[in-house]
Amino acid sequence: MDLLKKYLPRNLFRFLEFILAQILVLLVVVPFFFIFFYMFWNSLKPDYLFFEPETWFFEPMWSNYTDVFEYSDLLSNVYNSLIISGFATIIGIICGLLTAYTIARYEMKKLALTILFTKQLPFITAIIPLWLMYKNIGLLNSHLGIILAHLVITIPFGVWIMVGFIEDIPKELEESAWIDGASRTQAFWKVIVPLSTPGLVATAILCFIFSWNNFMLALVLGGFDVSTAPVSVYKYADPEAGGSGQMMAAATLVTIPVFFIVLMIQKQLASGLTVGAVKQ
Amino acid sequence: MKELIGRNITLFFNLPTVFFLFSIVGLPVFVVIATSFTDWQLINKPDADFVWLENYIKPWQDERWVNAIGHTFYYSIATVLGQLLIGLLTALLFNRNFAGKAFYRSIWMMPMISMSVAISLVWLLFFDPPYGVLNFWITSIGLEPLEWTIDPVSAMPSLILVGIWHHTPFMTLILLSGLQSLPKEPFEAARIDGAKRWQMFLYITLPLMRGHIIIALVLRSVFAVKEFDTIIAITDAGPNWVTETMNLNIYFNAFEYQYLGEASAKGVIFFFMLIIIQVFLLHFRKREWTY
Repeated sequence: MDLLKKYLPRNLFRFLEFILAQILVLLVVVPFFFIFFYMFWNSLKPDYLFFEPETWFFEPMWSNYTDVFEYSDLLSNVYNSLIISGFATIIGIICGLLTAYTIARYEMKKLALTILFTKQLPFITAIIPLWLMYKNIGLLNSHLGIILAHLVITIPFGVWIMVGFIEDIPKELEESAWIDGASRTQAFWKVIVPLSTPGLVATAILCFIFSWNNFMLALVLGGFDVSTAPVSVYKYADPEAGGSGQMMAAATLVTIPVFFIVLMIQKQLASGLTVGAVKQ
Repeated sequence: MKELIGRNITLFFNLPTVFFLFSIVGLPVFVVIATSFTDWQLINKPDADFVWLENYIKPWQDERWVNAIGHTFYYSIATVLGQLLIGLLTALLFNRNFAGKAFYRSIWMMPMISMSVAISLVWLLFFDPPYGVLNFWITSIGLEPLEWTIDPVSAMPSLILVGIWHHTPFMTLILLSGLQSLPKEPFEAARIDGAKRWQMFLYITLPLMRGHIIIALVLRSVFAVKEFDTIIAITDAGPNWVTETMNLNIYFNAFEYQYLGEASAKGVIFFFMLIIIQVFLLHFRKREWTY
């Protein structure tokens, strides 16, 4: 490479470097992205073509999507999912912001450790006793029960990420508010909350995605009455549940919204995911 | 009132978090430990008796549980090492500047945040032995088709492939943030001393990245050990339980066979195992290496 740089004209070298970088990155990205392309393309495929994997070109049709809406409970489950993940996210980020603030500014080491501990607890260990408790107090198969269970995901995650964002806010801003006569709660509302809004939005989106994708909690605690989107997608894993086209249509429907979110805010997402991971 | 909150800010601000976490994590932990000492079965034996540590001893005579531990380690070590390798290469790639980097990076992040159950369906079609795309490609270059998830030998590697595909982007992100936080001086000094690229990578980049690599390993191995969705959707612990991990074993024990006491004990064992794995891995982070 260095040799080429020496002897080739500058523009040609630039061009070669550009082509090489594009080829390299495509070699990495394309196999990873192919799965999504395949998912979408096969959702437009008539079922009999599944038995001819060599056929890549065909007349696309949308009937798989209408079949999914008609024959499966995906739509009502997406509605359940929106309610459950929505409430779990809101409670999660409110608790997360408040606790993260005290951890970041008052150095609550023990509390931080407890949060980390709850974050490590595997769902399967928590879900057996939760199921028993829900059975006794009648929360089994209810929205409220699943929302509460999803807080296991959103609260620790929210705290964990928000600590990083709040530590990035200079302490002096708050101190100057105190000097100007603001109480601690006022300083929190007027300084910390507005300044941490971008971080809060990124955290909320990540919490929502993780809660939206979670399968096990709703599978066990929701029973047949309240199931979420992943549970209804999971029903298609049974080969008798509908053809490959419907399978891919259902998978596409739950994946596409997340895609657009990622494309819109990929930078904040990346920082949100790593800031919590690295600053432990 | 406001003054009261202001004076005890750490107390009032943490009330909601503590309340929720106590009721959905704290209480359940007590309940799970309590049930783990009983021989409670939901239908066959609804009146539980106290059996001391029997549930902590019995599983070790059960071949399926012991095998499940082996499968868990096989799955996690293989996926995490695969993720580390590809993650490191892609992090190095994304650390350079090239046209369309932001776009490629956002596409790269997609597997990580897509719904694992939905993704499993796509892989299920991929692995389909007679009509799947993978076998179509394999046979078209003249090789023997594989049985993928149906053959006990290749079932776990198939899941490992899915695991690597699913979670490598997260590895890339953490390692990338590590690469971007590296100091410039050692590299300049090395360049002046005439070091080659691969030497700089081996002797400067990797040692400086140790903290990030270990954090990434800890996070990813914990997730890999806990993997549930893709395994239950793609192989359902089959064929012949060769892809049953601890997580699935506990799930079947509790919610299919309804041995609540035994499953609780296994859940507690599982939790302690996770803690031990993390402490073990984090131990490497603190150790000082001299050069």
